[in-house]
Amino acid sequence: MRVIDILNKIEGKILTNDQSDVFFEGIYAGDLLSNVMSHARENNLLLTIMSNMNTIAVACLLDLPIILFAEGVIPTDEMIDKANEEKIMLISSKYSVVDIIRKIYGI
Amino acid sequence: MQATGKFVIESMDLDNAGNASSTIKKMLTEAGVSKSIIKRVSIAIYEAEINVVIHSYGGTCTYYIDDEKIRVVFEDTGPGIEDIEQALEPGFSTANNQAITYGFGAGMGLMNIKNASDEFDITSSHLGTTLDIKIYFN
Ligand SMILES: Nc1ncnc2c1ncn2[C@@H]1O[C@H](COP(=O)(O)OP(=O)(O)O)[C@@H](O)[C@H]1O
Ligand SMILES: [Mg+2]
Repeated sequence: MRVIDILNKIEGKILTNDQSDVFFEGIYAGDLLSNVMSHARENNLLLTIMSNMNTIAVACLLDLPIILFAEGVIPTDEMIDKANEEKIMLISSKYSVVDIIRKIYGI
Repeated sequence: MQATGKFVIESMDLDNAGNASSTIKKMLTEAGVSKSIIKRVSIAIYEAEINVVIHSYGGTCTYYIDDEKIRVVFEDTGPGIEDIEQALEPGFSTANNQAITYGFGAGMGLMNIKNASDEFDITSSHLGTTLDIKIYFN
């Protein structure tokens, strides 16, 4: 999937500098970072409401290209700077995790 | 490849946790180690760093890399793990509220570290915990 395919559906806003299209392969949704660590796979989009520097660190360690924050969660400027540096795209959407998944997959 | 180094890990410094794992991941990536090995190394070191941050008074992470493996030793200054068997059980956690609001405390860390490692050794007393892991590149 591509960011361009989902952005309008979820009314998402890209918070990082690079606004170009990014590919991802499936979604991993979760807030407990140990679960993300053991279950998310490379190139997954990480869908979460957990917003702190560790969220970026985990995405970076696992090569997750996109973090999509649900429920209108907005990361700090420090997180956005780190994500820019690590080339991870941050997106925020006002919808809940479940609504985001429904909108993306049309279910 | 031959490399060794040491990181200091501060207690409850949640925002800077992950320094050792991200630095070592970058080194192994540059050295051409396979992605699946790097993922296991990253998981093990990250979980172990977080444990020192959220459960201990602080400590160090020392790594030794050679052509065949990476060995990483985490040493902290207490308060130690009362019952290691119990600590290894999935879901067991004594993480405090601050750690939980950061997304930690699932009680999966030690198990994740053990599963990711080829060799896993943990010893603990009230004076501190030592975790010694090895992951082979082939
Ligand atoms: N370095 C450490 N010092 C003291 N206690 C520890 C340490 N590492 C782990 N523990 C204990 O083992 C438990 C289980 O650890 P872990 O499986 O990583 O789960 P979590 O970190 O999510 O609590 C912790 O809740 C804690 O009680
Ligand atoms: Mg842990």
